Amino acid sequence: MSEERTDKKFFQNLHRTGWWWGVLLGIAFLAAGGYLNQFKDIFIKATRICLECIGIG
Amino acid sequence: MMRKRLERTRLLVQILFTILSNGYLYGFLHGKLYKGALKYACVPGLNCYSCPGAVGSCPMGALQMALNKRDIQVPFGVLGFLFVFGSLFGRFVCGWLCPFGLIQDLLHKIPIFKKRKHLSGHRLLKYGKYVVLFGLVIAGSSILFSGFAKVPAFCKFLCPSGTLMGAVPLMAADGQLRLQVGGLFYWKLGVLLTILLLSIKCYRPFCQYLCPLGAVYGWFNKFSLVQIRWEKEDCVHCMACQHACPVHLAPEEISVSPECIKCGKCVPVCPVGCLKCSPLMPSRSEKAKR
Repeated sequence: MSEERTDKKFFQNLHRTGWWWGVLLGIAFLAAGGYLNQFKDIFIKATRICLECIGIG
Repeated sequence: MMRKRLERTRLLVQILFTILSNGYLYGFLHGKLYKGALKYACVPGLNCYSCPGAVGSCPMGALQMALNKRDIQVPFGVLGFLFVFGSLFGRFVCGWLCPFGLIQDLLHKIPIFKKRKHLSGHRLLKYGKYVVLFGLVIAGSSILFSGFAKVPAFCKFLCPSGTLMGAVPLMAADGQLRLQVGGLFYWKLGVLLTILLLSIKCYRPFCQYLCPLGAVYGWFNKFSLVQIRWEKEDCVHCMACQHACPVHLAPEEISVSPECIKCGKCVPVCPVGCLKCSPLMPSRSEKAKR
């Protein structure tokens, strides 16, 4: 019974605590992105003129 | 008085952040892109990374780049940035940090045309940004091809920030690029001019109806750290907040609705002070329940 109450309280409070779950998840995603070398791809794309973005490609 | 002070502060923050995120002056003068280490990171707002002054990457551009790859991976890096910014700020990014939002705000101040908060058909049109997000950004970038390569569909066909902050300064500085202008550029220019003209009459039409980044941050609005707290017990339902709100939100929708850009215009007009800017804290009624 007390476990059910704890779970119910957790979900009721999620809108207040959700922000740091989101930040933690974000940091985990950033770590995963770094491990998979995805930031290098972002860098390569961002340092070349994107012809599609400027309406040429 | 407090209202004017808040407006001035917000404008100052918007201008400063625009300058910070597009501060590579050399790029504007010579038509070259910044190639420093900051471009490994995404800025929170819609800021084309082909803007010669841009010092960071655009999250929507980076997301589409990841979806354009032949072997599509889950774009953890970009999602990480979106989750962190969204969880901390929600659509506060739209109201205080986005350069294209600033441009629309400034255009809306031009004293011509009778001002409107929404376009006709707002109830349906507000879902347009989700259509852009799922249709153009995600599906379009995953399946549309140009030759042998996939295309960043939102950037290519719609993004007005790319046209204004990327195409215009680059073409002004580089004659070679000007020679390559074709139908696509004129389409994008038409889209940009339509949005800019609409912005004079209607409040932030791109943000309300088309911005996929606003659609994403809107999902975080309810539980983001930055909140405008509404003390329900103190509210006298005068609706002063709704009249002051540039997107006409009711008090119970303020800060939690995906449409709220957390500009804070509702806070100083409340006669009883039941709206407060604060990090997420329990309201008095929630505290009483505990």
